[in-house]
Amino acid sequence: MKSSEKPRSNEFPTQPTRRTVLAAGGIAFAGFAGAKTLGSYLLPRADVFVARNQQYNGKLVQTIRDGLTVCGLEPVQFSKKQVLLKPNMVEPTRQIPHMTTHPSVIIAAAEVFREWGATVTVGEAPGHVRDTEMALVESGVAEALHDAGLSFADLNYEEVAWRVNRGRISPLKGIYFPRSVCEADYVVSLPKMKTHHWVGITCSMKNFYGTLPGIKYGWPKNVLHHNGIPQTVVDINATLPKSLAIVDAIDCMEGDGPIMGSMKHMGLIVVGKSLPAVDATAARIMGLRPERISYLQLAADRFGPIAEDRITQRGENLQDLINPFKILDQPHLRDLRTSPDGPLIS
Amino acid sequence: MSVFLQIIESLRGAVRCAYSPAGPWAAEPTALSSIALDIHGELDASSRLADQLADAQQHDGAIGALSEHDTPAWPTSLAVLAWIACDEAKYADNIRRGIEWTLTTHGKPAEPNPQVGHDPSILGWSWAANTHAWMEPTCMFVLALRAAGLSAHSRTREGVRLITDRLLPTGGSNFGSTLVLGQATLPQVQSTGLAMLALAGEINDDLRVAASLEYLEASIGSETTTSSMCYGILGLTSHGRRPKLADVYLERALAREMERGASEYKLALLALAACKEMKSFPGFQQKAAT
Repeated sequence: MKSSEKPRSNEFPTQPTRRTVLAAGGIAFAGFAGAKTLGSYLLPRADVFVARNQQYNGKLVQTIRDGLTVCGLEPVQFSKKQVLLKPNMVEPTRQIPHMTTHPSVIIAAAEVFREWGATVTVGEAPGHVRDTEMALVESGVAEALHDAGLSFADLNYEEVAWRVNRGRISPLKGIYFPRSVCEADYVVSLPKMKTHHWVGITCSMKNFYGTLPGIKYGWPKNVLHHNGIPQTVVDINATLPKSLAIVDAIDCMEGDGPIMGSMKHMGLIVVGKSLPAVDATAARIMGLRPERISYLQLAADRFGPIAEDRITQRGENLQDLINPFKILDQPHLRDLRTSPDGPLIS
Repeated sequence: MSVFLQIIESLRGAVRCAYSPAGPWAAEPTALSSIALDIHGELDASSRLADQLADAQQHDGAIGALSEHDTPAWPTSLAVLAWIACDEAKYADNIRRGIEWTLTTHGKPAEPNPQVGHDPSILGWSWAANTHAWMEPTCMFVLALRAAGLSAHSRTREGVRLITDRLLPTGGSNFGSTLVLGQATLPQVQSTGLAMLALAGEINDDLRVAASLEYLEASIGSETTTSSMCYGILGLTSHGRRPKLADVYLERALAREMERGASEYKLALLALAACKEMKSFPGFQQKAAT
C-alpha cells in the first residue's frame, strides 16, 4: 500500500456497524468517482492542428502560421525571442529524401517566426554521422538555409552545459545540452513523420534526441540507449526550454523506418504545442495506438495528453486522415497497430 | 603560395584548436593539428599543441574531448598519436599513461543478438564510458596502439577484428551497424575512410575490405564534403590507391572552407589528406602486423 493510501487511525470507529460500513462505502465510492472526475478535469488537454493537401511548393507559411495560431500561440510571444528550429537529419542521403525533414518546411517555419519578430536559428546534432556538413548537403538543407539567410548551429560540437534532468524517468541525473539549445527561448521540433523499427514511431519527441551533443554522447548517442530509449526521450523533452512541434507529414516514411523505409505520401502538416499530443495524433493517423508506444506511455499526462478525448483536433477531422502505415512484421511492433489487420511488411 | 602552404600558415598560429571558428577548445582538433604540423615540418607549432594535450591529460592518463570535461575521453587515442608524431622521447610519460588508460578501457560487450548483424561481444572502444564499442573510436585506438608499437597486442588484434566485423556486406561502413532486423544499413565515406586507414598494413583478405576501397573510390569527388573527403582520401592513400585527382578535390574543399571561415579541425584534416604518402604518419613507418 502506498503511504498516501494509508487510513489515518482516527478516521474510522473501532467497531463499525453495518450501517456505518455501508455509509462509508457510499462516501468512498462518491469520493472516488468525484476524484476521478476532478482528476480527469485536471489532466492536461491540448490542441493539435492538422492540415491536409499540403505540398512542399505550396502555401506552407500560411499553413504553419494558421496552425500555431489556432493552437493558441500569438505573435507577441515570439517577439525578440530566440527560436531554435530542430529538423530531423539523422543520416541524410539524396537517395532517401523522405528520411529527413524537407527544406521547404524548415524555411516556411523560419519565415513564420521571423515575421513574428523572433531570431531564428536552425540546429541539429546528427546522430549517426560525424560530418554534419555532409548531413546538411545531402538533405538539401544547406542550400536552402543559404538562400534564406538562415544560420545553422552544429549542435554536435558546441560548448555544452549541464541541466538537471527534470523528467527523472531515466537514471540520468542531468543532461548536457549545447549552447544554442540553452540560449533558446523556444525549441521547435520539425520532425518527419516516420515509423521506427524499435519504438514504432518517431515524431516530434524522439526528434529531440538530436538536440544532444555527440561530443558528449557519441555517434550514435549510445549513452541514451543504455539509459532507456523511451525514458530518455521523455527526460530530454521535460528538460528542454519551451517546445513546439511542426511535423513534416507530407512525404512520410513507412516500413523499415527511420532510415531504410519506403516513402508514403500523406500531404499533411501537424502542429501543436504539446508534443505528446502531437505524436499521439500522428500515431493515430499512422494506424498505431499511442497508448502502446513506450515513450508516449511514459509521457502521458505528466507532460501532455495522449488520450483522444483530451486532444482537441483543429483543422481536419482526424478520422478522415487515418491511413495505416506499413510496419515491420516484428513481435515488438505488431501489437502497436490499431487494427490487427493493419499492414505489415517483412 | 600554394593552397596547402596557406593551410599550414593558418594552423601554425593556432592557439585554440576547435571544430568551428568560434567553438571551444577541443582535444581532437588539437591532436590532428599537431600531427599535421609535424608532418609538414612545423615542429615548434606542433610541439606547442602537443603541450596543450599534455596539460589536458588527467591523472588516469585520459584526455577529455572538451576542456574542463573529463569525459568522454576517446581523444586520448589521438593525443597519443600526436605525442608519438611530435616527440616520442619528450612525451614518453604522457604516452605511457595514455596507453595504460587505453588498455584498461573498452566498450561494453553484449551477447550476439539475432536482431543485429554485428558481433557486439568483440571488445573495442566506445565513444562514452559504459556503452558499446563502435567503429570510429575503435579505429582511433587501433591507430594509436599500432603507432605505440603494440600492433601484436591482443587488444589491437581484437580491435582490428571489430573493424572488419563492422564492415557492410557489400563494402563500406557507417558508425558501426551492419544489419538491423535483417536490413543492411547505409555506408558513409568518413567512417569508411577511417576504417580503411586503421586496417592499412593488415593482412586481411576479407572481400569487404576490397569492396570498401571500391566504395570510397566511387564516392569521392570534388563536391564531397570536407571531413568525409579527407578521411576517404586518407583511407585510399593508406592502401596505395590515392585518387589521381585528390589534390584537385582538396583544393576545392579548401576554397569552400576558406570562404565560410575554416576551423582548425577542417584545416588539419585537409593538411593530413594533402600528404601523398603515409610514411610520415605515426605508426606507418613500422612493419605491418602479421
